[in-house]
Amino acid sequence: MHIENEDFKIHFDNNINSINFSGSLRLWNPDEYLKIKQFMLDVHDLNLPELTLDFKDLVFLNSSGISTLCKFIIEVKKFDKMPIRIIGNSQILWQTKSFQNLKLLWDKIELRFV
Amino acid sequence: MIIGNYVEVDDGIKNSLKMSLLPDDLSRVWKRCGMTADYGATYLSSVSPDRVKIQNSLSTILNELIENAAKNAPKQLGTVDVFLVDNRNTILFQVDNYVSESQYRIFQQVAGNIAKCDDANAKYLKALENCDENQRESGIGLLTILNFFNLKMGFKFGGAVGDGIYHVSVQTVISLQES
Repeated sequence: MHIENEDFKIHFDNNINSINFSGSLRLWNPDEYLKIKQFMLDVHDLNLPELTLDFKDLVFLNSSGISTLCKFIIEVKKFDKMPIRIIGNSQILWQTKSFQNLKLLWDKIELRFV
Repeated sequence: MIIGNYVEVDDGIKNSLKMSLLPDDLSRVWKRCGMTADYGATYLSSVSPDRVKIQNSLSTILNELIENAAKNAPKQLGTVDVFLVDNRNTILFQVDNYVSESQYRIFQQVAGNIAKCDDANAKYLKALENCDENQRESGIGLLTILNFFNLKMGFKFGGAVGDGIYHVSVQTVISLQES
């Protein structure tokens, strides 16, 4: 399962139950972010033992993208189906700040910065 | 009318970059917003000892300002003016554009809420939880950069320049030592 274009790639690695984000994600069209959120929800619906969201190779994400990520967390929090781990890049300031906020939205999220 | 931390910048100031972009060009090829932000950030961070980190932060901030302007500016009227000033220890970003009267009123409210905000993080989390698809009225893009980065933000609201058309200016000042 994957979504990609010339600027970014989102790929589900079913060997390690991880959705890997890379590139630059600065979309305008709200429909495109809905597709990404639905992709993440579809993976979440696979009833995995755990789910990792790996952002360490995602260089840019605009505020619409950060909002989409937050909405995803708010939705899956209601079901509390599996542990969610977020991997971020300690050298990218928007990641360290925004992922700490995700933990405020749902304290069960595990954060790891590499 | 000025809201928040806004300083008048002399057009002829040295060590600055100015770009005038057409809103229609930005809307049609949306990645131009990011390209412009990346270019400005790369140029300004080129001699910074922490270049990679600073470049990423500056591009993230500037991209948000340009995207905000590109979304709200009338497509066939005026320009989105991007003004970057290198004051050595601080960087000033200013983005000017035109808006319709209804957007002008909404933006004044957003600016007022942001300027009054004591706890940017709390306001940001509340906006995230309440956010629907119409993000413009929440000001979430501006709250994002205000919350994530140590910067000062200010707004200037000009009078009407035409039939129901107004000029707005958003400014951020970023301290390089804290970004």
